[in-house]
Amino acid sequence: MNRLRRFFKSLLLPELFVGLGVTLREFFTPKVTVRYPEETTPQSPRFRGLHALRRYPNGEERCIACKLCEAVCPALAITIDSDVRADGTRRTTRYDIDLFKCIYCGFCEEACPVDSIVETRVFAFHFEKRGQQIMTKEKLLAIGDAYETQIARDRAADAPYR
Amino acid sequence: MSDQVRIEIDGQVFEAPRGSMVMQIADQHGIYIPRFCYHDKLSIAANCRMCLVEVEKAPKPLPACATPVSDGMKVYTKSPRALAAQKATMEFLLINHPLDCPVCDQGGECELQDLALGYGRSHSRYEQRKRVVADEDIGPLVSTDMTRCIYCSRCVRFTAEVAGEPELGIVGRGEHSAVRTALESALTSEVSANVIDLCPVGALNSKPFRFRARSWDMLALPGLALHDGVGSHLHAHTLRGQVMRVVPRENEEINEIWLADRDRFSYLGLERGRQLVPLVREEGELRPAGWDEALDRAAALLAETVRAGGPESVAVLASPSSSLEEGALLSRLADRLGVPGLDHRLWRDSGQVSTFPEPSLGQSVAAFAEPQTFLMVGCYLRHEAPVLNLRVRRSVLGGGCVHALNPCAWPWNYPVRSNPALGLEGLRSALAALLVTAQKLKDGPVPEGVEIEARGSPLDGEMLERMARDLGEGPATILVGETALSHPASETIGTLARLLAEATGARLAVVAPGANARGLHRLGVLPGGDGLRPFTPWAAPVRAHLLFGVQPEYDLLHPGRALAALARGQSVHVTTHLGPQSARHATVVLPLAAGFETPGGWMNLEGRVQDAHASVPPPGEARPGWKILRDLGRLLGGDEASFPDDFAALLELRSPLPPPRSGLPSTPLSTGSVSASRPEGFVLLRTRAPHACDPLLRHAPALQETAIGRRGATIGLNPEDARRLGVSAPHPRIEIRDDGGRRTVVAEVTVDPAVPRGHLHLPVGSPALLEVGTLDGQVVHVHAVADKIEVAAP
Amino acid sequence: MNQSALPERGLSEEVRRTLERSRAHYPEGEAGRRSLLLEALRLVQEERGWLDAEALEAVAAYLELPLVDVTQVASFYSMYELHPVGRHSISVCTNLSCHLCGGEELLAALEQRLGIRCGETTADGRFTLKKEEECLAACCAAPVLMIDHQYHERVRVEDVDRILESYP
Repeated sequence: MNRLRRFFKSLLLPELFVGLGVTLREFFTPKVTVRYPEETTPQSPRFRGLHALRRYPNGEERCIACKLCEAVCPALAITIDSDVRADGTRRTTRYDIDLFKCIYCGFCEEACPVDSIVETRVFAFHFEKRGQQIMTKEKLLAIGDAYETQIARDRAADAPYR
Repeated sequence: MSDQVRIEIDGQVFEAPRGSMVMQIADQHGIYIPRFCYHDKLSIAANCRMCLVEVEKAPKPLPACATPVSDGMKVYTKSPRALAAQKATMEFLLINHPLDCPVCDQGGECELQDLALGYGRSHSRYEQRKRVVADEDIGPLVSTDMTRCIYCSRCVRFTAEVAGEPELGIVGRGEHSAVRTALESALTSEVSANVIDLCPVGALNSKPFRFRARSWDMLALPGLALHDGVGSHLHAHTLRGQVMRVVPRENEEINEIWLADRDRFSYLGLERGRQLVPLVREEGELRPAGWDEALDRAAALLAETVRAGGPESVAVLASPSSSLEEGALLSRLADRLGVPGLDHRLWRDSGQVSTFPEPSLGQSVAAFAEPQTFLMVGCYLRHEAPVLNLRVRRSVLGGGCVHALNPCAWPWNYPVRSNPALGLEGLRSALAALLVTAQKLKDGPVPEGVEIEARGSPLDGEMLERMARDLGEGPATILVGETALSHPASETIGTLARLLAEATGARLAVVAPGANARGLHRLGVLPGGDGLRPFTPWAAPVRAHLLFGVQPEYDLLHPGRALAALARGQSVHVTTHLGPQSARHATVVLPLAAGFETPGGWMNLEGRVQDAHASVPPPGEARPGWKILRDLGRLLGGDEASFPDDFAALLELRSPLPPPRSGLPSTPLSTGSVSASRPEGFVLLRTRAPHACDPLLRHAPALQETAIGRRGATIGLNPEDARRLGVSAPHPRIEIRDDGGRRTVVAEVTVDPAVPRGHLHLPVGSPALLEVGTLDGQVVHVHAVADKIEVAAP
Repeated sequence: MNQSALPERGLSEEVRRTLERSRAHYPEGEAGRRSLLLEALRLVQEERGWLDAEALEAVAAYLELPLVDVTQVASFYSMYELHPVGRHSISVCTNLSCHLCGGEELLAALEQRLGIRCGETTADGRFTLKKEEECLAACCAAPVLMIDHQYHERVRVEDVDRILESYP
């Protein structure tokens, strides 16, 4: 009986039609392919992309140079120099992130006691020259300024789980 | 009753000496009890209550630091009751402590942070406002964040008990208490910055280091303090090739856990005013040059001067803090050139043969804490070797006593039996008079000439007799310090001190300045290799100088003579910092690596050879001294080329060190009459400024802003003289004219009761007083400069 | 030790004489001088009204004690005044017994009557209202008011005017 069934199976190629049936079905189901870059996938508020340094609403930079992010960074990508600012507060004089070393683990963000260093949703970036991968304090603050609305919304969305 | 009791701590039974505290026994056996106020080196205060432990049969938990052991006592340090008490204490301590660890420099090395992790609650139950305490400016070295203070009173006890200058106190009561100085003034002690290490929280921190790095960032590299002959151990904390701060390294035999302020903050000079490239003079101007060119020029200069003018025409002067290797290479270099003029004793005033024995303490550093009699001869140990002076203080508190024979009545941080202001001439005659008294007391013969020397002694017989008796009874040490070594009649003083030591059976300690004076003496960095040769580096026939680690305008007591000689001849400056006058005269300048940047060995005054590695690389093109001297030696035809580039091979240069020399000649004492008449005008009394006595210190701004540093930038004047001259203003200035009336300079004055009448105390080393330093002669004339009204001196 | 250049000029002849007499009651040496400190501060305050920095320095110089020790003691006890005060000092107890019997109301009435807050002095320099006075140890007669070491017991708010008038 089995032998007979195998014979017909090989003769009539039913798998072909089963396969074509799948194709036919998929032909009418809604498509999941995202046509990047015209379309993008949805992102979580916890997305870990390009870094930014944030400011308080009054324009004061948040970073207090506690160096916890530098200490926690598993890839040693962060380098900070700190000193006393003219008004007596503790501030960074240098805040560099080497994006070639960074593994986007988000530990810096976790360690930050003042929510200053954050990872934004920006993931599409490139460098054209050696050295451009070093994100300086100015660049990071500029990113923070540009995306602050989004960053603030994301922190608020994630707040209940922190 | 036996002196030992048996106590049980956490189930382990220990023998303990009666009278000791539970905390001490627990510490000895490695049982940790949390504490804040308890400190090994300070008295017991028992005011933090963190060390509460359960003691069997005691109704309440007891503080381990203040509970004496008794026989059969059973202590539980980790029982639920003890832990509950400790946790409750921690909760109280944290009530008013700000949670600003991220911006606190103590973060990461904070005792409160550490213990809060173990004993603190994760959330505070205190919902009211925390209190805030106003900060106080207590000087350029220590920053204050008094809100963080937990009132352990360690700093208060340190200033009163160890530093001997009670400057800090807990002012106010209850909620209003705060650690304060009496008059909102800066700390004045020479060891004040030790409160930084003692503070268990972030209330007192290093001001120059403020916010510069975190404790976990830095490498702690062992090093040595190179500003006095004690050889204190320290850790240089470095970050990315930069010294960020210096902390003491514990060594019970030398510095215990203390560090003098200047040893702690001299690193600030590493980054300021450094000479970064070699320079050579061409057509009257210094221009940058490569190492090869500069070394060739230097070697040619030395060789040619010797060829043209004979070996006497070159003088080699080295800093007394040069390492043993540098010293050995320097004496090889001098040998190669055949130059006898070699010296490290920058403080010397006379060109006479020195009869001082090798610098030493006559005992170990630790032995200074034992009760004994000290006679300070021209020695202000407080500023010359601050950490050693702390030992003397302990000796005094333990029953010892101190007599001082100094030109000025400098204030001590312990009670002294006598402290007259003798003036420059009085020092010599008083010492001779003391020798006469000591010999008379034991009916010994008074050596020839001493009676004559003793004429005009300003001391009365009673005081002399008391000194002589104190010296003769029990162990005693005669310390000959900087002012005696640099005295115009230093050789006479040296002989007198030696005779006095022989007469009273006291030990003789020659406390020479510099970190390696003893080692360099041993290695023969001396005129003629043995010091038995008169040598005046600044007079003919010397026409070329090799200065190693020396800033002639500041490091010499009489820079005027030196600068004139440098202007006349040629000079090679191997230096970390090039001074303004040197820049005018130097022929070749070779940038030198400073302490912290040079590996090497240094012999401290007790004779201990200590090695240190370089903690950071030298800046710019500067090179360690041994490499420069090796290359110079090679260019001069020596076999130094055989020394490979690694430092270890050089160690053989200094091992074994030659044995100490003995059988020094005595300087004959004067047989003629000693002039007792006082010349007209003021006697200039030169001492090295304690916070500006070497190039590194001079370039450390924070040290210059301390009370000691500011005093070192002004002339000292007796209050009566000041009144007589009409000197009075917030920042009084005087006009000083040299004896010949050729030059007049203006300088700021501090009215100082320690200075004897008729004297001007001139601290040498500060750039502010360079002009006064270059005045010639010992006697000067003074006018007040006050609101343009000049008051003539009598 | 801490060599103070200040002479003993701050202490009057009378204070010094009294202190010399009292010295006999205390042990020799530093311990005795420390014990004498409280009395010295009290005498100087009685003479000058309050203890300024100069007074503290004078006491420290006289007793050969570090200035900071004198400051610690003077700032610890609330009866030493380290700021200028009026001719009369008023203390109102607000501790438990007095609080229950109307001490707080009494204090409020005084504040209103004098136009000053606790710790302040009236503009004419007549009265100072002491800050944080704790129990005056007369609970049996609460509420208690003390003016210049004189007790006024069971004081009612309407008595205040009459009492104040007796202190010109």
